[in-house]
Amino acid sequence: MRYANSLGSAFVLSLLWVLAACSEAGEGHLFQIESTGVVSGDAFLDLGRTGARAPGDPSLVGLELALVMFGSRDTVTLALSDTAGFFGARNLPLGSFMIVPDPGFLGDSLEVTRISPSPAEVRRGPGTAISVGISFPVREVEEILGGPTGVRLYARGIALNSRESLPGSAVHIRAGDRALRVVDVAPLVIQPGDSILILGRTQRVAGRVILEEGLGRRLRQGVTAPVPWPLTTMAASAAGGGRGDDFVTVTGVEVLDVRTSFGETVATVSDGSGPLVVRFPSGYLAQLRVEALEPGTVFDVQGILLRAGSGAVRELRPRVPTDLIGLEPAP
Amino acid sequence: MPVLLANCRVGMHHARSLCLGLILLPLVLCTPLAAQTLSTGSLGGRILAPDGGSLEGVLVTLSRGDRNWEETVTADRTGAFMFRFLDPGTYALRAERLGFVPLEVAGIIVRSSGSAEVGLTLRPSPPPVTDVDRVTFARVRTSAVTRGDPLLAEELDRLPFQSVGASALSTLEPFSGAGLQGRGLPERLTSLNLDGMPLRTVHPPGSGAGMFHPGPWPLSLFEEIEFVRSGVDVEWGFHPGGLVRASSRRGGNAREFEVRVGVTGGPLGFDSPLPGEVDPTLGPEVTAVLSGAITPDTTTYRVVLDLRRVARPQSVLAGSSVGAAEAFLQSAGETGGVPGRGDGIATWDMASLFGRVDWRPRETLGVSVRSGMNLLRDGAWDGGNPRPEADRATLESHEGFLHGSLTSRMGEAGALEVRVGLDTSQRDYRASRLPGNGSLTPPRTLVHRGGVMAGGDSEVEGEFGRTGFFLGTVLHYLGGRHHLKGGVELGREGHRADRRSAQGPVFLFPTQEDFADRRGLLSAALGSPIDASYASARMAVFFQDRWMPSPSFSLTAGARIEYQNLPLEDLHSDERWFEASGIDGAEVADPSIQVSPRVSWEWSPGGGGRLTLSGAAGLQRGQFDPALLLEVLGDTGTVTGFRRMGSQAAWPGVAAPDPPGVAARRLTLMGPRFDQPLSRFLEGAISVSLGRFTVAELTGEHRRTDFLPRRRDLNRVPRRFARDQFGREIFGEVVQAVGLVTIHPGSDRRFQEFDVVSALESDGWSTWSGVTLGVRHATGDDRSLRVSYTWSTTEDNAPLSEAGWPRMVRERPGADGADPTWLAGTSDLHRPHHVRASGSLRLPGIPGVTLGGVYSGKSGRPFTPTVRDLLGAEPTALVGLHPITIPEELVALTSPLEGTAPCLRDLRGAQLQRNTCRAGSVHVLDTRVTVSLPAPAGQSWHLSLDVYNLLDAGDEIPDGALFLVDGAGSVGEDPGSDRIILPVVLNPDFGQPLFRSSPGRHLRVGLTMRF
Repeated sequence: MRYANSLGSAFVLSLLWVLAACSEAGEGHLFQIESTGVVSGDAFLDLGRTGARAPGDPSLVGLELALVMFGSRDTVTLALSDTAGFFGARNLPLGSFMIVPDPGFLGDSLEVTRISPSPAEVRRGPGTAISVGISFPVREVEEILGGPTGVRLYARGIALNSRESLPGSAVHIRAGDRALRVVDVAPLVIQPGDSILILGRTQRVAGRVILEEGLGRRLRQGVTAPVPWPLTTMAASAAGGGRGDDFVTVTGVEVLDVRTSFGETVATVSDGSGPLVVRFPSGYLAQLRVEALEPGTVFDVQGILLRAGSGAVRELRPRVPTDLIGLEPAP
Repeated sequence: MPVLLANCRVGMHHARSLCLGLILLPLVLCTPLAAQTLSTGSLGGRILAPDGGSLEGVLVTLSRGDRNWEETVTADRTGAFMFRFLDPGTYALRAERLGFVPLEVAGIIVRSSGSAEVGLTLRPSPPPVTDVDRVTFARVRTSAVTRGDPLLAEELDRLPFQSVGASALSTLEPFSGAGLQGRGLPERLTSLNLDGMPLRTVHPPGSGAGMFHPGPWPLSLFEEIEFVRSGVDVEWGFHPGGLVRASSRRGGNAREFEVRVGVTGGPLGFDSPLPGEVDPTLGPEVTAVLSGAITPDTTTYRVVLDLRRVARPQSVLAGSSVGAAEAFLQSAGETGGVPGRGDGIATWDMASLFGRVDWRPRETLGVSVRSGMNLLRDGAWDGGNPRPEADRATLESHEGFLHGSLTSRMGEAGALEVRVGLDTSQRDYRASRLPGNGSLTPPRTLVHRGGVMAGGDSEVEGEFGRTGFFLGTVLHYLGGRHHLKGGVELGREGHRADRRSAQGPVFLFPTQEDFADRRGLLSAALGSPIDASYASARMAVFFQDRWMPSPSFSLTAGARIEYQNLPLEDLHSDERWFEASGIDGAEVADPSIQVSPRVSWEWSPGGGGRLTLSGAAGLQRGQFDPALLLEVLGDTGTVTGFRRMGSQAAWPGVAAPDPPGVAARRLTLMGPRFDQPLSRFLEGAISVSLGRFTVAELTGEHRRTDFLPRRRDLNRVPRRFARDQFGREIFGEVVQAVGLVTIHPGSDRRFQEFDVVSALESDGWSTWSGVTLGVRHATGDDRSLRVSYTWSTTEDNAPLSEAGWPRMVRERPGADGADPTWLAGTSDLHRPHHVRASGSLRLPGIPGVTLGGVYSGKSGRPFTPTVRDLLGAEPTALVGLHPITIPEELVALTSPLEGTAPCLRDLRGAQLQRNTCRAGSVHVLDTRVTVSLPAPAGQSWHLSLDVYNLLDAGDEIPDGALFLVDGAGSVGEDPGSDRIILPVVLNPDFGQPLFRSSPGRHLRVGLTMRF
């Protein structure tokens, strides 16, 4: 009887324990962020470096973008832009992502101007739209002058002249104490003293680096009026102090010789140190109401120091009539 | 088994001894169940003649000397007698009949819900009667040689206790594995019952306090303290672990007035690791007890008034390096911003009033009404405060209850018990304020090197309240070999939380110099949660059968079915969070109806009671922690998490324009399915009577509890940034700036609009397995001794949840979406060895002098060696949680430490594990000397001298940082892997105590006068 009792109770105990063991702790008790999300966007060449796609900004084709979970270094997936620059990714875990363009695509010649939004938050429902702007790098003028040629890049500086004031649609910019010549600039409304960003391809002309095929954008109007470097006529003619392509002034020059050539007045002047050629449209004199520039006339002049022909000699190009200072108008 | 019941129809076979007429009866005569209820017991027996025949007409008088109470019944024609509805306590029984030698039995213990049996044989005697035979308790067979016996008021009176509350009693319980903490469960999951009614005190969300925090009911209110380990009885609902069951003193006919006056001095010899002295203080205490009869034999009353001041050391400044702590205080003081205070004495003024009235108009009907009130005020901080003008932290507590019960016997086979109760518990916490700024609390400030932690905890600031109503009926029926019990319980609870602030700011500074320059990290929660309140209803039905096929065997089986209606419809859904994550915080599955089956058995081979085998198993549902629901209801995005790196020039304030920092909303959500804790237990015991006065017992238990609450940050980035050279996962981008190696603020957030999104999920578990060997020796009032040793192992997956409040673990979930493997392992509660001893001795050569003592020795706290870093702006950055392995290149650096910390050897290239090291063991000894003083007739006077914590012992929380991240070094990378190499230095304070929770030594002199 006793043993029967024990066996009976043991059976009940075992049954109970087995029953108890069936329960699973935690099952269904945990939140799971199970939804996935979608991102899409477009990649474009941000020619204006505005961060937003502007009319005329070309699409970037074949750009590989890594979607990296924010706060980690893990690439969750890759997206590739198509011929329209469109890219997309599905089934992404919800959360924040960093969009990282393929460094191999960018190389040294391209850089990201803006990825918006960043981090990109992937939520449920409609996909998150991402804008990826890629553009050429911005380099300092001094770096450009000492750098390689054939590279497309941006230069940033203060405009020394308007596009229309020099032949060849040239614009000269200054950053620090160095100036850069940009030629074949696309139509651009700027005035001297404006802060501008200008894209071009580096080219070496007669030993000096310039930008050609300039494509510019005014960043800010009238930042500061450019101050000309004071030079002697001899120093200006020899581009002394590395002031070639820069904005300079010479004072107290006397006209030694004057001639006209294809509608331009070409005057040889000297302040006593040596001759300097000053070339400007003949219309400037009319605008100043000066009938003619006579030898022996003394005046001040400022302008851009440009190369004269293919040699090393420089000539001074006043940008506007008022760069000819001190000429007496005709009575 | 608490009670063994059998019908009283089995004949006696071996009661033939003529020696002194006493024969031990083995489970022959048992009391009907109707004779006892939950809070009372019964005593029955049978009187035999020397020839074994029944002896009719014997006058049986039961008396209780300490109450001047006695009652007489006459044995029936079968010799049987019965005393019912007895208060728990120690009784004497006297049997008299003309022509027989009167027989007296002393030391009969009656316990609540228990039935004691006694068998007596009277021997003939020629008149006149001149002698009284006296036997002792141990020769009388009772049903109560079981584990977890109640401790009676007399036993408590002979032993010293800290006056801070019933939690001190946990050291006394000799046959339980882990005392009050429910065998490896946090205190918060353990409950206190008073007279069969659950006494629940409120606690603020986020606080680490347990169930007795901090409104103690003085022990003088209790008659009987019982530690019930598994609660096989289905009437007990939600106690997954141990519980204390208490019944209050009941009055008798005799008028009684008792006064205890004492004074406590303490703490004496508080050995603080911090600078500064702690001056002892004196705390008076007065207890007055008045009892008597309103209507003799029918209506009695008892009133207890208790007033006392309790002092204990408090500290809001800790440091493993004294030099660093001093430098910190000096630097803080120079700039006028005191982050907190050093050691000081907190005094707690307590007033408790308890009263009860018992009305027993007839033998079969009893009505009892009990009420109690407990007030507590947090008084002044005294010595050791470097800035005494600082506004102090305060706590006011109000508790009260009104309980009533009606017990009605319905013939000999049935009984009905109805209980009804109202109770309330209110807490008002106010954090300290900085001098000169009434709105600024001392911010939590951590200094990385030196291990300095300072500042208050503003998180608990607010008003919290609970009110409850309870109605229960129990119906007993005794038929044949079955005892049936069934009942219904209804309850309703209201909870309220009005928090005045969110978690205060936490500043982290790399070094003392950085603190002086205010360069570091800030993590703050700005704003306040909204007020929250709710009410819930609860219903339970239960049914139980105790089957007794033979006198030596019983099998009990039953089930309890519970349902609690929670206001889940009030949960808030944050649209922005739902839009982002798809998780709707308002959709929480309603807890289903919970069924808790239980079974137990007891077998006494041979029926002599010398050997008893028993076992039990079952399921028990715990209770839903109201503080969790209040947090969810209150944290609905009104609090902003703010993180800032760099200059913290506004310290101790937060507002500073530069650097700007990162701000985002915080949320708390409840898991999609949130269940109450569920415990499964299995236990077995062998109890052996060793001679007349000694009982030995061996028990083995296993318990697993599931559905414990855990916390997870849903808005942590799902993938790690890297692992460090110690194998730890790091989340968020590691940056190095201004001497800091830290996470870039915001880089570990999944959705930038949100800061921490705290998910409370019931996926935690805990297991406890243990073996206890205990011996109890008692000879009446002369001497008693209880000794036990427990070996146990405790595991869980909820680190830093020692107090039952779920804490955030930044590694959850791991990189693969699951818990990191190290999370499941040795529990913070794991203390494998625990020795307890308690006893009292009446000195034989010196009349009136009694010595008493309580000793508890247990393993020290486990801790996890780690790297202290600033990679997360949480307090764990100082205490440390994240386990490490020691990389090969650093073994040479740490090997000299292995002599004093051998546990470090286990960290070489091993799997990550937590709690691999352990602080020193803790030995607590309380002693008492009681001297009886000459007193007028009818009075008794006693003088007692208590020394608490004679060894000045207490738990230590060691500085677990083996390495410190060195901001002056450089973060490196391991080529070909995702590992980063943190610059680290060895922590010279490794293993040194950050905190020491010793209450210091206390001395109490008391005078007790009983009129």
